Amino acid sequence: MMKTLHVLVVLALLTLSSGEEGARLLASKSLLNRYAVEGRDLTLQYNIYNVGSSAALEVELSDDSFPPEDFGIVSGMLNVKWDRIAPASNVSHTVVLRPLKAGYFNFTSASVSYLAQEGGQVLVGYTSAPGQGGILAQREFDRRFSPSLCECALLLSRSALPCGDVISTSAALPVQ
Amino acid sequence: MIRIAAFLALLVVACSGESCTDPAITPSAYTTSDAVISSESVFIVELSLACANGAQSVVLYADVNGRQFPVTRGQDVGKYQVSWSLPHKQASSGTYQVKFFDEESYSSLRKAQRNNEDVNAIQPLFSVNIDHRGAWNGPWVATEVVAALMGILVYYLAFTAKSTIQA
Repeated sequence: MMKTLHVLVVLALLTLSSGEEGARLLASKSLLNRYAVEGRDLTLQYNIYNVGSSAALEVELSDDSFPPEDFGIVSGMLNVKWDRIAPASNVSHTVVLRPLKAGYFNFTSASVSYLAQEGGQVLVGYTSAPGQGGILAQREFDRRFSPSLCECALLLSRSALPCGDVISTSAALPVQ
Repeated sequence: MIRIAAFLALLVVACSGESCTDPAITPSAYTTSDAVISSESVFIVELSLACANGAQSVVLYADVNGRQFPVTRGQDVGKYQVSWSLPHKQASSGTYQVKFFDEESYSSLRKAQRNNEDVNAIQPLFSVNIDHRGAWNGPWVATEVVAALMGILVYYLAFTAKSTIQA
């Protein structure tokens, strides 16, 4: 009984070590934005880690999840490649897009293909997906965050005109 | 044994890339300008590279302030991209020099780094300067606060005026 257990353990170890042969990539896709706003920059970052024992070759990252009618590209490329990613190292890639429409959008994963070793088969994997997120409308965002200078000037002029009239100034205040 | 392995690895790396003579580049750069909506400052340098000897699969590395990155290649021939990100506070405004190295000069850069030699002595293939104007953090004081302070001031002035008239 004890012997079979030993054999099993050795077998398990063997399969583990043979499974770790070659490169092994982990990829993530994340948004570097606090708010996604229509017409403003939306930053996407892809990170690829090689957790395998040898270099990954001909690594290609491609992201087709952004329809051109919904997103414009500000800077960066959505289809890129690296010749090799050394073991125990990582690469990162950033793309800046501009959402053209407000509303909910499902940010799905990008695909990564690579060779785990020279002359090996092409492996295809996927990055993590940021998931569903809301894209704020431009007007909604401005209302919440922009310095409302016009309103401020309006308030000032309203409170300055009736000089010394306490009631009208205090009535004008709660507008802001 | 490790040395031999490292040498072999270096040899493989050195053989895989082509070298580029007289590089002609057209760079374009992007840096984050709005810190209100983005959580980190990103820097992106895109460039088209044309070599006099017609080399197409040039492997490039970039160095920015002592940090090295492998340069990403685009689908189109001669298109390259380097991108990195920093927290807003560390991404001070100013000019950033991005130095590009090919395989050969990159390995000598790494060697100089390992031996604590002067890394500035190694000539990059070419370099690109990008300007970062700093990211806008939004107004220093919220407009509501300014408005409230002004209101209180006006109220105070009116109140004192009223009491001097009535006195």
